Amino acid sequence: MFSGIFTAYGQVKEENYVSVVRDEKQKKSASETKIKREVLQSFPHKNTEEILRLVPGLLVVQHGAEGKGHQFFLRGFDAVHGADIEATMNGVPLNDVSNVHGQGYLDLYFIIPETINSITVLKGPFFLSQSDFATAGSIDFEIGIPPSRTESQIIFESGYPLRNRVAFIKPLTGLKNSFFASEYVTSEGFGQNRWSNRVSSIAKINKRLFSGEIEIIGVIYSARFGSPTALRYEDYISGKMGFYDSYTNLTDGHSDRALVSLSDKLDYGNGILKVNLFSGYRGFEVEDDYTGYLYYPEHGDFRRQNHDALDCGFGFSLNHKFERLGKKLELIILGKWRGDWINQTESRFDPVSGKAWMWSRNAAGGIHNLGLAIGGRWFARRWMIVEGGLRGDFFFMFLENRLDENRHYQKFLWTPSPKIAFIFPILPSITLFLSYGRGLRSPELRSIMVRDLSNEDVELQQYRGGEPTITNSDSIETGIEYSFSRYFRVNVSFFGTFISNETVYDHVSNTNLLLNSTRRLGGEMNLIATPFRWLVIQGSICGVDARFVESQNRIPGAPWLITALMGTILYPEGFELGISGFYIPPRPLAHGAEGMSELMLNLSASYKWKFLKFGVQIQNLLNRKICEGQYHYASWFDLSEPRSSIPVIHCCAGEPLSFRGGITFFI
Amino acid sequence: MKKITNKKSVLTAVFISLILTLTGCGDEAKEANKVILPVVSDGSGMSAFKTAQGYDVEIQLLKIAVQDFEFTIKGETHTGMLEKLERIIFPKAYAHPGHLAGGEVTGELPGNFILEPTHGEDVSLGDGTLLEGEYHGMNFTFRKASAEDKSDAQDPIQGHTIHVKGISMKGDVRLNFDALIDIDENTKMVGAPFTLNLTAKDSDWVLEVKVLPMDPSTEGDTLFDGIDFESLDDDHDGNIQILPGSDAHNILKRRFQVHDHYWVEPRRK
Repeated sequence: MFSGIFTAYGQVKEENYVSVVRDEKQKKSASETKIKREVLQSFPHKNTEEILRLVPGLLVVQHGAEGKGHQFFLRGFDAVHGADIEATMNGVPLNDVSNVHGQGYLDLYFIIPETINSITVLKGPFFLSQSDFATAGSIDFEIGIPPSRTESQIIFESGYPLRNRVAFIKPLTGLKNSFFASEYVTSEGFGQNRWSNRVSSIAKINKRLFSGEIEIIGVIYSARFGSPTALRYEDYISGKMGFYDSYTNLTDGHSDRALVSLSDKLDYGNGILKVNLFSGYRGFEVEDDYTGYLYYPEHGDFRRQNHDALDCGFGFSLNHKFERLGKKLELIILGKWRGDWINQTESRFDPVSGKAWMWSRNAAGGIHNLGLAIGGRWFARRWMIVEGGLRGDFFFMFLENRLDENRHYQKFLWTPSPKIAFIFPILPSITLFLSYGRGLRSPELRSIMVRDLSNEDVELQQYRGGEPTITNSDSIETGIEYSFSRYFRVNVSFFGTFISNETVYDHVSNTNLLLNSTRRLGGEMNLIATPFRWLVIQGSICGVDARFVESQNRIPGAPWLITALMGTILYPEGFELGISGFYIPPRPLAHGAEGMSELMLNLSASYKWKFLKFGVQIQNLLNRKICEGQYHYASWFDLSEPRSSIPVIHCCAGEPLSFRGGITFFI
Repeated sequence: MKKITNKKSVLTAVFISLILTLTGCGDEAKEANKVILPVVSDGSGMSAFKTAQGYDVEIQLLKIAVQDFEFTIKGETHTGMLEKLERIIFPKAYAHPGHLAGGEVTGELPGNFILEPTHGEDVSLGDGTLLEGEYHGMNFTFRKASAEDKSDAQDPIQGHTIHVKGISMKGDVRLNFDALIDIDENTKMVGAPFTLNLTAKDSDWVLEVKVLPMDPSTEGDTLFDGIDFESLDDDHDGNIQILPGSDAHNILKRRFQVHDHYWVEPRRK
């Protein structure tokens, strides 16, 4: 939930204390955020997703146990599990295309936090490189180990509620930015059915070859986790259920990933050519019951979703500077192809026997996405840079429905996405920005087999959304960055996003809905102060008015205000302290209901002495009861009560006061 | 000295207040506003109508066994401009998503009921609970009447879903009909028109459930379209019995399930 700090912080470290690789690139949009290693490592967190709370305007919510993907809210978007946020790791796409649990599903637990060099967040779809799922923005994780770090690390962490972690990070000497890392995490969780276990290994090798630089990344990851239900808020208020309880302990899930990528960066003098190849496997299964016995009183609404996917892809980017024009003009050509082959099922099952009693999906298919973009960057004046172009995305989708006599479906869709950004570095201390771009989200694979409208009086379970379309978001942003002095920096931006026809997936009900137009208007301000070289303080505030145009109703679940404060002390003698907090006022929920406010304060401290580092993290320092996930829908868990179809508030608890202590050996 | 003490007291009070605020349980969530509205079955009778086969039909008795009314809001699902205009001129039922979305059904009246449009006067069904919102549709589930219904033990509807009696006329031919219809348990009628922008401040409404013999939209379909009454009077005694299993029964069964023939009329108390 914090941002611009990171350049300021980089300066502090670079000039006075530790050598930090600093990004000298011109910032491209008002809200572009680059979080550097030192800041993200000192920010209180227990996994990679939680580090994203550093990004202003981004709310990260866990409505299951550690291991299940988070839900994301960004600038008035309910991006669900990643439908509106494109995530990449060193350029390799991470969103699951047409995941059975939600379009663009993101599981970032496999990224070991200590291996992250930087995180770059682009809010809005303003740049040619942004492709499928970047309707709200995109995030790129750059993994690596700085060349200055030659020691291996062995980390032991333990905490209450019981959570143990062992991690091993070994830089590969002689190979810049290369490492092998592995971690094992086991947790009982802070509430019922919130246990989790996971193991992840990442290897990265960078090697110069001829005039280029080759990078190879390999990942193996596996997680098992409990799947708690959401809690009816009235059951908590009446004392029927505890805040951290689940109505059932009989549901769980697993998530597996294997990934390999090969990329090459060739600097040929007048430009840079990058090529990238990747391939991966994703296995995912989750069992849940968010609605109790509402729809199937005899069996219960227990649902099991299974997803297996193989993907591979190829991408290239060419940035060519024209020498004859004094290198004032740069040609940008981008291309990518990604193919996904998917096998997925969904069933209702008996939680005791584990057997499915009704199948609602059994399908296999694939999606090919070809993206091509051409544009340029023009250094028009000392005070003006223009970057823009046109991107085209083409989707070919095919599906075999095994529940309907193996009937075949196929669909071709495409969309153009214009983008342009103006950067005005009018003074060394002042830069103005103006950006426009169109983002896109592909429809889910299963949508190609639905009718455009349900038949009269057909049970509405048959409804699965409208004619499949690509959702486009049109965004504009303007802003200013002003450095008062080396001690103080402010960044202000205003944005608007408009979507004419939004197709959304309601993961709780497993339904695609074609929605009316929406618009999101807002502003964001970040203040960064470095009163002392060892102290960085940042505050951010992001407000957004996100509404459906016709009804003027607020978009349910999306926070209208997120405020955050962070302080970091990085003393050169090895002492580090990080404190972070955020406050979100009550969120609008569906049907006029209103959620709880959220206030979270976290603390981390560490001290490095010779080859040892001792650390402690305290999460939810104020021990507030936090409803991370807040929803408004109908459920029926207590069969002694009469069944009701009227929606009520449901809550997924956030972590209570918890402690983690750790020791790191540097070898 | 005193000033310093006061300043300290104020600071202490502020600090304690801040700590209490921060460590408190936070503000409570707020459920959507609920409105309780009486629901009645319209009993004012049914007007005569002409079927597609040219019969003038007069319904003298109609009873339909249903359960669990659901009231649905419009939600944020997409509708085109033409459809919006059409709905203003000819309010038309249509199925829309939301059943499983667990959010579009925002009102209900659970329980077993008999709709009896020929009762002579309105019959109270109970008090429905509805959240504030722009209502758009009504659903219910068909069932079979049983002894638990407060009807005469000899009432023919017992064990069946619908009992309908009346007269059909075409030219000089006048036929009395009596039909018992069975609809499969748990079959839902989805999307009967119900237009009401309901707020807690303006909740002086009664919801009247009507059965319409003729589709009020441009389609103009009737409940008895497809029935050739003359061909059913095998013994030419002028009386027709339609019972489960016959072709005529199956035609009526289909027609009675269609949402075009149901309507919720909100009226002021």
